Amino acid sequence: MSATFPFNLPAPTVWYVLLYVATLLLHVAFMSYVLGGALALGVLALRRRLHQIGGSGALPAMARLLKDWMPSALSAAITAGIAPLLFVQILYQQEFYTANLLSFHRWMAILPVLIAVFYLLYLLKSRRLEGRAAAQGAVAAVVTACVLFVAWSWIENHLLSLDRAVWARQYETRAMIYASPAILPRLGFWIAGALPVWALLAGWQMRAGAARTTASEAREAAGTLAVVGAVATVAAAAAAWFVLRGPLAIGDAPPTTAEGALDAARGPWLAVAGVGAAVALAGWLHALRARSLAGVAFALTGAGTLAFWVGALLAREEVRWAVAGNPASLERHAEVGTSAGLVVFLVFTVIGVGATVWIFRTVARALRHAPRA
Amino acid sequence: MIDPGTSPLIPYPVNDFGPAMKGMIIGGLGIFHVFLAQFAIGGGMLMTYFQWLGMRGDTGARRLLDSYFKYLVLVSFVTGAVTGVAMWLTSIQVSPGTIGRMVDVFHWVWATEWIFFWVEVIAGYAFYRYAARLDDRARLALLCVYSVAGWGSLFWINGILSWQLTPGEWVATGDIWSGFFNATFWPSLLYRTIACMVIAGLVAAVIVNTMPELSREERTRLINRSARFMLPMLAMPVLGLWFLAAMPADSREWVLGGSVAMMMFMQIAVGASVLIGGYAIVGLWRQKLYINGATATLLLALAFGATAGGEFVREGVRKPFSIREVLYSNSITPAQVARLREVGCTTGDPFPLRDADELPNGQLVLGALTYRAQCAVCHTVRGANGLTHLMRAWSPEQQRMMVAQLQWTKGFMPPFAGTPEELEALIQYVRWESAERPAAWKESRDPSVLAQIRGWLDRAGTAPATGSTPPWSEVAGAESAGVDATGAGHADTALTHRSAGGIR
Repeated sequence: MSATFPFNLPAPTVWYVLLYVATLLLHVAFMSYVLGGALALGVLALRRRLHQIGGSGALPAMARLLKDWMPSALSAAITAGIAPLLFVQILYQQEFYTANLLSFHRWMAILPVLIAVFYLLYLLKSRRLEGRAAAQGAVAAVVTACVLFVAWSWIENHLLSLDRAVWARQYETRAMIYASPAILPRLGFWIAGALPVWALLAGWQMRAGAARTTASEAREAAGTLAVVGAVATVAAAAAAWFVLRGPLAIGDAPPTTAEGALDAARGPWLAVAGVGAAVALAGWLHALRARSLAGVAFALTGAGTLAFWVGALLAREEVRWAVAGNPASLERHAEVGTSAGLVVFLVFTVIGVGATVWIFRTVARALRHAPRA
Repeated sequence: MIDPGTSPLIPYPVNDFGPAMKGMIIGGLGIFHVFLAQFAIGGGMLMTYFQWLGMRGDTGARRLLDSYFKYLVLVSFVTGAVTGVAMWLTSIQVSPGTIGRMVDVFHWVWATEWIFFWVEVIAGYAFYRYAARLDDRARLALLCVYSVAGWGSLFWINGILSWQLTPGEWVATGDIWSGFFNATFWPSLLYRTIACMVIAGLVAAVIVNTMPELSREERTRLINRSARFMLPMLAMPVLGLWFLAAMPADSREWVLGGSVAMMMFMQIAVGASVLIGGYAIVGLWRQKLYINGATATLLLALAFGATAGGEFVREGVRKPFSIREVLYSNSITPAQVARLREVGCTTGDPFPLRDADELPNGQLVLGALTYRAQCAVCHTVRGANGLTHLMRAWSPEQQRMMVAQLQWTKGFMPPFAGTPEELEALIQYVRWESAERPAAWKESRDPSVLAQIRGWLDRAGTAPATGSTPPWSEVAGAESAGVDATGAGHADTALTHRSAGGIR
């Protein structure tokens, strides 16, 4: 049992953990775009740049891009979130379900809030609000608040699921809000971690000319995005170190569990996250100097950010497993692991990836030969 | 392998939704989600058809297609996608035991469905964003991918949902594919496919009326062409009968008169479908009539009614199970009933009773806990399907006997799964609630009453009414050699054997 987590666990559990983390990684990419984009919308609204659709420059181009792509990004984030939501039910069924039930209406509120965010984003994109700075600012502010509410709710749910000691009291007192000093630092971690991903994706989109971004706007934006990416990467690394190593990681868990969790979390995954953050930082600094997110800068920021998230998510899972994992869980995983269908899933995953690539290629090819609308 | 007969129940906190029963919450959301999802799937097929018409020179079809897709994205992609996630989260709120078991058994199928949904969303958004700049071939290809992926997601989820009613050989063999391709799989899949096409056709009739740029003649032609898409409705009666024939006999009895509510909802579904079908086939397709926006919306509302009726029946005919033969609605397995009658259903529940200090004595606390464990998933105390309303007219003896022999009192109820003390406590709790919660309430600890309850419980046995005969019936009497001292007969034993073996 000296192997690195999760390879120190039985095969079925390893399999589910890896699938969970892999699909969560996909979700994080789109979720980061939404979270980072929502914050950017808020900043643009504060700077009264949101309504300048027709203007030129990095900020108006950014506003155009966000208005155009945020609804699709939210849809992708929700769609990508379904798979980790499935695997978390296999891995931590009792913990996840109990936290859901204890938070009740408070937790379920994320659903209407998400629907509201969707429609507000479409409203922001529509011509109805064109040129109306105050209205756009108000909509952007509500979107930002709603997205932060959803992020807060997930963190709260996660921590409550691990804090078994408070479950009975939480239920008896009908307390739908779980107050923990760990929530705010975790929110800081997710925001800081999301911003470099968003900066990377937005920079890539602008370079590709999305939302009618010109080459000069993309260059100008690259500088701003590089500053955001660099600062956020440092903040994310610090936040990851803080929340995944410190006692705040596990809420009010009993000291003995906390000890175990801390020991477990001192694995190599935080080191992977740290190295990833360092590589990404080098990429952002390169981008800042070159005023471009292309080439080496793009490769370094991309690879570094990916490594950061792989390390951070596995470290997070290691802490969670130290708190919630037990022999009964392993038995359950072994048992449900006997369910047939894995081969079918893998076959259709390959077909699905093929179909996705085909769609992108078909659209790209058709667009190359089509006049711009 | 965990044996469901001996494995401990996972204790989950139980919430209540005030006067609303949980079935209303999950049912309401489910109907809404199914309707939107079917619109998304049928919409893809209809647009593929219209794209094909457009490529053959029908400019109106092309204009409708572009307008249609905006509605599809705004309504179905947004609300449909979020309500899909909501279905999972709401299922956890209503019955964590059921959704947990479904995920355990079918997670790879669900994961496969997610792949299809992913492709559907990507193809859909690609079309939404770029259709105006794509050539016809690319448009048609994207719509075909979208339609196939959308219908594929229906294919996978249909297997899981129909398995809940007719798990078939899976119960005995644990083979998930025989559970997936179960007796109601094909009629259900074909029926739903047609429902998707009908909803899509009706939405088209509504949208055509929101397009002022179209002439009356163009509108009529497009509506008539949408009506062609609804022609498969002619097969619905046959598919409905196939579904009825494939469902378990006792479930069929509920629909055919055994349960007034069930029969009524099925009639709503059938009646609404007949009206839509008659109008679409005779009026729109044969006589080439035009319908305005108001009438089209009314027909769409009827389709919603048909969906609601059909989904209500589909959910209802599973009773007393949430997964037939495997899990009762209250998340107790048939094999666990006998054990819970010995050790109690409230033993080991780590979640204390809320507001316990409002109850005058410990027996009422036990009764409230028993209600929470066994009844709260389908009933409320005083609201919808409230126990105080259902049991008010019965004498205490009647109440005890009815609950002790619950599966025979009402065939769609599961057997009571607790000790005589818990049953008596439950009766006292309901009586106390019926008496408007007085400050003082005498405990009932009469040993002869408990012995009588034990006798009733033993006589009723632990088998469900589904597929069994009452132990006191003439048929059962003739086979009394198969009834043991606990009252559990052949059917019970068979069921226990079939259910053993844990999660398949």
